[in-house]
Amino acid sequence: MDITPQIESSGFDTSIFDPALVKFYQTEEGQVGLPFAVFPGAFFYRPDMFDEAGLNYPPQVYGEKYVMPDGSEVDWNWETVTEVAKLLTVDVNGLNPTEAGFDRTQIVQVGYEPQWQSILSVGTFYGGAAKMYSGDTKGSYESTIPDSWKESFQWLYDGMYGEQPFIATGPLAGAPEFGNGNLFNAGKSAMGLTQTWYTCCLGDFAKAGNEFQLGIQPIGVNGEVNGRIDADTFRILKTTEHPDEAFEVLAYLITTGADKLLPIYGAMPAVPEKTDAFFEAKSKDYPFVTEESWNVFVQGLAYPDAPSSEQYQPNSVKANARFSTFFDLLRNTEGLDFDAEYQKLIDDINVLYNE
Amino acid sequence: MLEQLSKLPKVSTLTSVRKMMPLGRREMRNGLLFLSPWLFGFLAFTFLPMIATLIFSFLNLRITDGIFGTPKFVGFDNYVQLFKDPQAGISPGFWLSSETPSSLWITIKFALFALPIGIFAPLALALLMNNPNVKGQFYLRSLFYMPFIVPFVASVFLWGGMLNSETGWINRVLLALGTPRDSLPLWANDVDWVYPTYVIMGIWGIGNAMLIMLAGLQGVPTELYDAAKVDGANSWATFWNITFPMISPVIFYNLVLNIVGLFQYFLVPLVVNNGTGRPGGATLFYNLYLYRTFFTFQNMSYGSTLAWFLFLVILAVTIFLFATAKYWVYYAGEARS
Repeated sequence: MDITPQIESSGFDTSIFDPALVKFYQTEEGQVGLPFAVFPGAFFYRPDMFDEAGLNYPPQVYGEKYVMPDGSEVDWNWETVTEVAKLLTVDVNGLNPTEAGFDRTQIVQVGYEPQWQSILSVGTFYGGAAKMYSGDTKGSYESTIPDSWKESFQWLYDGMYGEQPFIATGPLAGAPEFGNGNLFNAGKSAMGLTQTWYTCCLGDFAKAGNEFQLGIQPIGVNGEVNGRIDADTFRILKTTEHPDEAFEVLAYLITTGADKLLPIYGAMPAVPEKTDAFFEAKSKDYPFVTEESWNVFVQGLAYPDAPSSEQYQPNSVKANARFSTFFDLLRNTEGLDFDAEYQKLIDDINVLYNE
Repeated sequence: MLEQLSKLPKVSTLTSVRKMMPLGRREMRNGLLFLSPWLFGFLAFTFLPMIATLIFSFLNLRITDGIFGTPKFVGFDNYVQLFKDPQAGISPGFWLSSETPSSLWITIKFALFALPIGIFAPLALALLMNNPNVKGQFYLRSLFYMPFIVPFVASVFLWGGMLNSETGWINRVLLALGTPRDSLPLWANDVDWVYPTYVIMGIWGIGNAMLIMLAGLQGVPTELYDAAKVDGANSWATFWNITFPMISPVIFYNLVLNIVGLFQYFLVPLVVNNGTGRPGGATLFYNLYLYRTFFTFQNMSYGSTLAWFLFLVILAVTIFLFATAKYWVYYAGEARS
């Protein structure tokens, strides 16, 4: 249910959260929740691989420029990420894709991995958050995926199967040597854009003596930083007979109760002032990560994807499965007729939305 | 089949139990007591779910419609939908006309390819292991059987790694042997190679079937071979007229198990190709489609309908096999009409 009346009547202070984050919990229904456990995104990167390639590290403060090897300062956008990722991709002979003689069939390290991101997440990061459908009744639904998302899918595909690859193809990413999909943890990817929760799964990486730091999320093709936040919260059923009392419990859970609950969740607090304890605990697992790096996550709270890439879609289970199949197809098929497959995806999605 | 069934021991009826001696009754009670864990397991985890899915197949139960809704009785609607569903492909008309291959046709195509290999490969291996001229049989038998002990999912992952088109050592060896890079198979990512890939993975686990066949071969009375030798029979005549008939019950057993297993083929495409049907929809086997419908799309009613159709198909094929068994399966010691 929309909890706006309860927020107003109780005088709950929403200013303790970033306004963008509060907006993130709004749907067509209204304000359906308030920030609780959040998982903002960041660019995980391996400093040693950047050093080896003679590259500067990604910026750690939003608004900062990236310094290219020639000293020029450029925006940290997807174009820059692509250039850097190419230079960080290495074949068995130590060559990168921009060099003559690069052997794409024997890649030992890739520059970038959309680490455990869905295809919709890739679209959001690259092209910006967008509502995915129009219409309000069955029969009227239609896909409204923006062209920028299609562009992002094409970018992803070219990154794997284009002239100068810098992303692992499906077979390569699925190889045991490449961590069966967990590329960054396997030490096979120089950069990976993912969320806070990924700090769960870097045990092998750290045990192997590797180190990572965190950079900012890039500027998308729309000229803005298109961040992504995964989030959990508590909601109140519309059918409740005691909305005010339920809100009182909700307010407790996301404030005082959150201090006890969040460590159990392993999630980052939505209130920036409360993040210190969270990062202190993380620092025990990853003592090499600097404060500046952890702070990238805190800054990321200001860049949620609204609407979320995990937003509601009509017939969502089947629609999401269709998107997953498309992602799987992209990752695993060389010589794909991209435009035809994309059109097929949209046609299928339109059918599924109205099924 | 009926003839065979009539020879089974008669089931105790209430009257016959009453007529039992106290000792007999006690033995029966103890027998049932020892059987009870299995009986309970069968009732709880097989029989009741079967009845439940049969009921589901006449309802419109979908978890995606909400857990608080009341499912409605829809009669045979799900079965009508099944016959109209091009992906399920129950009607042969869908097999070739549909843009993407239908799941039933995929299953049948693969079965036609994999079944002969699934029967003859373990038979050939068993014959080899039964040949006195082969040295080190004890070790070889253990080696051939060993992969069967490896959990199936683990072996699928293992093969997935070996047959990886980019990093797998099989392609590396082919490359080293001079195969042009462009001609290297893409294995599970190629429509033409994906079924052979699955069969190769399956062959690795034929140790159990080999052992059963071997037991059958070793059960053939040696005097039959001696008689054939005296009659001047060559190797093929000996195999065809003695070995094959004598082990035909074992072959029949493996055939039934293989066919049932192939109709339920599921795990390999789920693990190797993520269950998406890639490449080109060629791996969306019937059972995988069932799984996706039931668990991914949470359409319990239609998933149950798919499951019951599969059950009926397997039942029909099994009955057909048993009906034809009298023409080619020889049970030694059994009087043949």
